[in-house]
Amino acid sequence: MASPLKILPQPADAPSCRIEILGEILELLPERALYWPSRKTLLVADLHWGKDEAFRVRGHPLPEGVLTSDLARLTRCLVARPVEQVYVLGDLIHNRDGMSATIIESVSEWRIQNPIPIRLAPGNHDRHFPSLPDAWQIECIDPTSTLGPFTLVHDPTEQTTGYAIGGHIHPLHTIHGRNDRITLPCFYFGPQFAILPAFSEFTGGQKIDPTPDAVIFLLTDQRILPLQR
Amino acid sequence: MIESWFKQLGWKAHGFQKETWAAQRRGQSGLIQVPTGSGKTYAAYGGLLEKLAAPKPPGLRVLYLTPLRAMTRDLELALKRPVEDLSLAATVESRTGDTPASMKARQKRRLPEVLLTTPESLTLLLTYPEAERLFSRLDTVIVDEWHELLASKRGTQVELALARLREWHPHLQTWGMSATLANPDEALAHLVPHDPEALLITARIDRPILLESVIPKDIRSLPWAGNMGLRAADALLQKLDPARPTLIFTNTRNQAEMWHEAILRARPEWLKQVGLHHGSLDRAGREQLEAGLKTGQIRLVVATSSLDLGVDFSLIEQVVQIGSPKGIARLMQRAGRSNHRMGEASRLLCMPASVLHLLEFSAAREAIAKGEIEAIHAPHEPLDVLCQHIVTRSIGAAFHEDALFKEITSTRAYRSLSRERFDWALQLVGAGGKTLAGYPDYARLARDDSGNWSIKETKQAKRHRMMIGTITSDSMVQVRFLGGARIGNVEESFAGRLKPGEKFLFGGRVLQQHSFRDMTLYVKRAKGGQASVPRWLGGKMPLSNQLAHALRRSFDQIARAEPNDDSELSALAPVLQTQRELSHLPQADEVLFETCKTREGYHAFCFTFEGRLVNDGLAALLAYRMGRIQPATFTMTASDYGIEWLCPEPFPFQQTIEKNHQLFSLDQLLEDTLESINVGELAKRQFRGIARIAGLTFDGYPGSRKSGKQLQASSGLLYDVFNRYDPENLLLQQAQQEVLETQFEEARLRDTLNRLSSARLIFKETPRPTPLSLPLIADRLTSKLSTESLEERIARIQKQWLRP
Repeated sequence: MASPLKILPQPADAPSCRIEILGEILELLPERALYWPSRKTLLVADLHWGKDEAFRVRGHPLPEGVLTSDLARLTRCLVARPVEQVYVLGDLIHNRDGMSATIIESVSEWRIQNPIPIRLAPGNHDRHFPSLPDAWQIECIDPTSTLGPFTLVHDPTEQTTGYAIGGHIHPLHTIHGRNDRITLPCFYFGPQFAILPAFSEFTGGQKIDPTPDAVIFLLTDQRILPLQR
Repeated sequence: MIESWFKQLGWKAHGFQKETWAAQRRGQSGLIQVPTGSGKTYAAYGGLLEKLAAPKPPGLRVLYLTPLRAMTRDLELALKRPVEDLSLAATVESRTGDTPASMKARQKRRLPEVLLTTPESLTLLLTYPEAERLFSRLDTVIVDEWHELLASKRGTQVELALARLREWHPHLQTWGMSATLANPDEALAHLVPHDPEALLITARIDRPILLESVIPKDIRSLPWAGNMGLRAADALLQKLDPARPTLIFTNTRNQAEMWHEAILRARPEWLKQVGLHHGSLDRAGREQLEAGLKTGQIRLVVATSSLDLGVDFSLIEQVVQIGSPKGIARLMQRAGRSNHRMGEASRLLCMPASVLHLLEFSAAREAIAKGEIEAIHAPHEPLDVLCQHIVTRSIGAAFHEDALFKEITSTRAYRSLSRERFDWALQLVGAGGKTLAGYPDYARLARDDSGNWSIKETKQAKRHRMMIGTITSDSMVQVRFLGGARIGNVEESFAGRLKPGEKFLFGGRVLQQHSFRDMTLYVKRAKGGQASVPRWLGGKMPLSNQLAHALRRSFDQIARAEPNDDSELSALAPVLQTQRELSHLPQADEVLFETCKTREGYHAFCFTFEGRLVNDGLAALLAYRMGRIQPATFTMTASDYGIEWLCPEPFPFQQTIEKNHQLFSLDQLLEDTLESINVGELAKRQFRGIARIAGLTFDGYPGSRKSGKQLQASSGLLYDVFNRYDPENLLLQQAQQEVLETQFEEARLRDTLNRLSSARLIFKETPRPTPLSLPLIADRLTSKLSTESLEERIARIQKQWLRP
C-alpha cells in the first residue's frame, strides 16, 4: 500500500513540518505535539504527569522541574496557534504514587490559566487512577474514538479499522553515520497508523525502524526533520 | 607453630614468611608484596595460628577477604589444612553469594573462627543488627589481592568496612597481600591508615620471566593494523601442544571467542582439551573448566582477564599473550600464571595481533627487566560509595553524624573529605536532599534531635542490601536458550544492539538472537552463515604509561640505530625501514607529525605513544584549539600510538602547529577540554554506575522486575533530569570528574602537553600512509566530531547516505 502521506513544501528554516494525509493537513511540532489546523485541535500523547514525583514518593531524591517544564511546553503550543481543544492520546498520568497533592495542585493551577477543553482517550497508565481530580476539568472519552478520518486511540498499533493516531510506545529512532550515531524521539507515520512521540521529556522509549512505506520525523529540540532515505 | 608444621611437611619457610610471622606475633599490621605463587597465603596466615590455638570463647577471630568469589573454595582448603593437621579447635568457613541459606543463617548466630569472604559479603554482614556481637572477638583481617581491590571502588568499600571494624577494635591487625607495586607505600596507607608501625614486607624472590615472541616466518602475514592476528595463527598453533598445558590470554572477549574458534577449526581433534573462559560465560561452565584445568583434562584455555587472578593452576607450563600487553604489571601477572612454583621461571609467549605489537613485546621485555611497573592509585573520595555506605551504616544500628564523619575520614580514601560534602551526601541519601525536603515521610533515614540517624523501614533496608553488590556489576542481562538453559551474561548495551535473528559468537557457539525481554536475551543455536562478532566492552584498555614510556624508548633506540639483538626488532626491520623511508622514526626528544592526502581527505597524524585515552582527549583538544585559529571540521581517531585528524578541505596543519605553541598550553586546559569533547555524553554513561552505587536508581528485586517497571528510568534520563533541574548535584560533578580522570587520564594529558611543548616537532608529508599511520586509518575505532550542532551532525550523516 502506498503511503497516504505527503510532506508539504515549507520554508527551509521552519521549525515545524506540515503534511497532508487522508485529505487533512497536519502540522508536526517540535514541542512533541501534532496540530490539526482545520479543527483547531492539538494532539498529544504520553504526558506521564507525576512520573518524577512517583520516584520521589518512593524515596529517590529526584529534583523537581519536569512537570513545570512539560506544562510550559504545552502552554507554548496553545498560545502559538489558535488551539480550541486538546486531545490527549493516553497516559496522561504515570501512576497513583505520582498523583500527590503537589502534582494535583500544580496541574489545577495550570488549568485555571489554560481553561481550554482537554479530552483524554485513556491509556494503560491512566487506569491506575480511574477518576481524575475535578479541578483538572479533563473529560474522559472512549478509549477509541473517531475524529474526521482518524481514529484516536492510545496504542494505534492494535487498531485495525480506520487510520489510527496514538502514542504508547514512545518512539525513538537512531540514525547512523560512518562514525556517528544519534538517537532521538520521533513521529512515525505508517500506512495504517501514526505514532506520536511521548510528550513528557522524562520518558524513555522504544527504537523503531520504519518499513519502506512509512515516514519518520525526527525531533531535535528546535525542529522537525523528515527522514527520507 | 607454623614453623613446626612447615617442618612436618618438609617445607622451607622463605625470609618474607618468617618476617611476617614475627611481625604478626608482635601484633603489627602490614602489607606483603610478593609475586604470585610465592606462598603469600601462608605468610599472612601462619603467624595467626598460635592465636587460633589459644583457648578463647568461640567466634570470629580471623577474617580473610578475597576479591574473587571463585577463589574461596581453594583458599578455604588451604586455610583449613594447618588447622586440621595441628588439630586446632577452630573452624574455617567461607561466606559468599553461593553459601547455602542454612549455613548463612547458622553463621548469623555464630561466625566460624576463620571466615573467608568477599568485600561485598563483609559489607552485608555489617548491616545486620547482630554485627557488633558477631565481630566482637575479631583479631585480624587479611586482605588478598589488595592491588586489585585498591584500584577500584571495591577497595574504597573495603576501606570503609575496615574503618567500621576499627571502631570496635582499635588495635585490629590488618594484613594485605599484593603483587609487586610501584607505589607500595600508598597501598599500605590505604589498607592501614594512621599506623606508623605498619610494615611493608617485600619478598626477594627472583622469578625470572622468559618472554618470547611468536614471529611468523613471513612477517607480511601480520597486518599493519588490527586486533586479531588470525591470519598468522599458524605460527602460534605450531607452539601449542596439549601435552604442554597452556593458558592463552587475550585482551577482549571478542578476541577470545575468535581465537578459540580458530584453534578448534585448525585442530578439531583437540575439541575435548580446549576451553574458553571469559567473564560473560555462565559461572557453572567456568567453574567446570577451572576444575578441568586443575585435573589436567583441559589442556589449553583461551581466556580474558577473567583468569588473570585466582586459583593456582600448577599444571600450566606456558602462558600466551595475544595482542598488545597493554601494561607491564598486567603482563607480569599473566606470566605468573604459569608454573606456579617458587623460584622457577615463568614462560611467556607473545603472539602479535598486528605487526607493531612485536615492538611492544620487545619494549615490555626491557621494562620487566628494569622493574618498571605501573603505580596503582585508589579512587579519591568517591561520593557514590560514600552515599551507599551511609545507608549501610544506618541499617545495623543508628549512627551519630559526628561519629560517622570521624569514622569515614579515618580512611585514607576520605581523609580530606569536607564536612560540607559529607553533610550533602547525608542529606541526599538520608533525607532526599533539597528535593525531598517537602516529603519527610519518604526520607529513607530518620534523624533525631541529637543527630542520630537510622533507617526508617525494613523494606528500605532490604532494598539496600540488594544494592550492596552493585559496585562490581555492570548492568548485565542474562543469556538463555529459548528452552530456558542459562549460558551467561552480556552487557545490556550489547544485547540491546542485537537485531532479531542476528548471529553472534558466544561461548564458542554461533547463536542467534531470538528476543530480548525482561532483561533476558533469548537465543537459539544458529547453523552456518557468518556470525557477527560482538563488539563488547573491555577492548578499551589503553596502553599504560609505563609501557608507553618503554615503547618510546624502543623507538628512540631504533632511531639512533643502537645495537639490539632482540628477535622482534630483526623481524620488524623491513617494516621499520618502510617507516624510515616514507617518513621518520622519532627519537625520545622528538614528536612525529605526518600529513597525507588520500581519497578521504587531508590527514594529519601525531604520534605521541601515550595510550588511547590520552590521545582521545588530546585529539579533541588540539582540534578544538586549531579550529579556533582557523575554522575547520575535523574527524578524529585515536589509538594507543597516536592521533589522526581528517579534514575534508586542505588545512595548514604544519603551519598552524608550528606557529602556535599555545596549542600545547596548560592554560584553560579544563575549560578547553570540556568545550572540545562531549563530556556530557560521556558523563551520562559514567553517571549510570554512579547513580546505581549511590542508590538513586534501583534495578528491582531479582525475579520481580515487572513490578518495578513504573519506577524504571534509564540512567541517561536521570542524568538529564539532574543536569537540568539540579545542576549543582555533587554526583554529577563526580561523573564529570571521573570522565576526565578515567576516560582521558587528565594527569597524563598534562604531561603529554608538556612533552609536546618542549619536544622537537618533526613534520613529514608522506605520499601514502605509513606503517605508523595506517592503523589509525584502518581501525577508525573511536572517531568523534568537532563542535557541530545536532542538526549539522544529522545533515552530515544524511549526506553520507547519499554516497555509495
